[in-house]
Amino acid sequence: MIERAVGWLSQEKHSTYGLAVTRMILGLVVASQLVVNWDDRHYTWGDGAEWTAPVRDATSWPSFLGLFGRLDGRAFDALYLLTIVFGVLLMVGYRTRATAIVTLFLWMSLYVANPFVGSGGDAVLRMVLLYLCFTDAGLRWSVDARQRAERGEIRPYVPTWASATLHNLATILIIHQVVMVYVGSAFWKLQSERWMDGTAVYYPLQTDAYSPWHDWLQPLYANGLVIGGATYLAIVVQLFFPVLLIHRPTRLIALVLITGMHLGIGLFMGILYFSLVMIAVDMILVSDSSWLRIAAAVRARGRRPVPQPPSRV
Amino acid sequence: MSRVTMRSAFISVAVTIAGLHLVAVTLAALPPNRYSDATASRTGYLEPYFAQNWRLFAPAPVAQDREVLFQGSYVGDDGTARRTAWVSWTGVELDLIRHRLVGGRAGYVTNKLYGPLSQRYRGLGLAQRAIADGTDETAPPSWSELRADLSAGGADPVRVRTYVLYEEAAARLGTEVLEARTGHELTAVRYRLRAHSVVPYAQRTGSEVERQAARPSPTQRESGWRVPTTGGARERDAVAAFDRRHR
Repeated sequence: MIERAVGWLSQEKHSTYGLAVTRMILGLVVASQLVVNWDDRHYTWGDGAEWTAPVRDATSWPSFLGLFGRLDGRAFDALYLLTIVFGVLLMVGYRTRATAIVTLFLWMSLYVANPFVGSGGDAVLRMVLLYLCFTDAGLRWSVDARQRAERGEIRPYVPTWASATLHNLATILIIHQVVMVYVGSAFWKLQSERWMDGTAVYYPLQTDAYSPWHDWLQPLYANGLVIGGATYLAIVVQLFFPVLLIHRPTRLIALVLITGMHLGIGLFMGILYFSLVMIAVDMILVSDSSWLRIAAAVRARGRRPVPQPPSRV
Repeated sequence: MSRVTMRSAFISVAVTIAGLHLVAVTLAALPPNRYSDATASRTGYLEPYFAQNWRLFAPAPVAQDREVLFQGSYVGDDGTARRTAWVSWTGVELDLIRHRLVGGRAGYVTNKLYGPLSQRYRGLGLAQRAIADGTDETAPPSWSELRADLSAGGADPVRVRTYVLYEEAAARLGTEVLEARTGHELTAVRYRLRAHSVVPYAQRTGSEVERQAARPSPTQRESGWRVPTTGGARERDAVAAFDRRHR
């Protein structure tokens, strides 16, 4: 059994397509988020965030991450643009491992620049991005993969078994991380009366900060069935998430439900990037064979001839 | 050393490290329990990088609108102390969130500042709170004087230090916001924390007027007067530009 486990771990890289999708979404999250926040970048992370210095300087982050905090004006803008560029490079998978490391460094430097901006999505993003540096996330659907196909494999620096072992262990740690986010969250919820009586989802949806549409969607939020259903569904799916992953049909149900939950949170609560990060990580749980089937279906759809209007002759 | 041995050794070490890390993350992610308490010293390396301490939804979901407001004191033309109107900076930041599919990250800055300002204040003893609240509007203490006043009488130095750090940050933002908004040269600045619980669940189906009437009264706390504090010109300009865009 140990021999089989060692073989699984060191002979072949697993979840390569899922990791490619994770890489693409995380790159998109980094790049697009900075584009969206371009107008307010100086208040959020730059000169206008310097008032946070008394608190920021007292945190335990290492000083080498303080790059954004040390730059101002055009130098800050240049580094900000560079972070967007690296987000795009991560998304397309160009020199993936090096890009992932630089993106992680730039993202973390931005994160520590203002201690009042970080969110749960940022926390998951930084953890997963660190693990991603140990994986071969550029193996599929990437510029690297295309170049490899054109020029052939280059002799790797490290033995294949070492590379595969690190890749698979890092993938396990990513999956474990996301499972712990769900299970830990469910255990916290079980301690709360509002979650147990089925009303918890109602409260954040009434606040200005976590419900951008609450003045428009009040009739929806006032519906007890919607609130109760969403509250209990969140607990059940999160608590039993690891169990549901064991069998393929239940895994599919779990992924559909949890993705739906994240989309709901992202759209109705205005925290779309948190949701995208969680969806990105969940995509690793879709098997390689499923991703290949999806890709084949998309390709087939793309090749389908455009129906011509009937001849009038 | 043969290739097979090197491979086995590498895999053993990698699996051991990953396994121990996996256990540490598990213990740290779950709510406090006897096992995580017993191993806290060994899982400390997870801070701050692997910390998962967001509490937006659980155990108690957020159920209040939280607001940080600023007020300044200045000398009027007649030589007497005057006060500016309260400026809701949270209200300005919320412009980045309201009716937007993708909310701007700066929309949550004072929302996240609110919690530590409350917690650090509650961490002070009653005598220290009286000192923190009772500062003079016309002659607020310098930061070192405030620290010394709070530390007198053997107060916990760590609590005093962290309280003053957040006060200094809030005063600096407040000074820049009020200078940008009013143009007055301030002699003192303070903040107000206002929390307003949402409409109770039982009253959720009423009309807008009925629902607003059913909201519990807001609670608020005002800080003592603090010495105006400001950063460089770029910092002030960035805060002023943000105010112009979103007020």
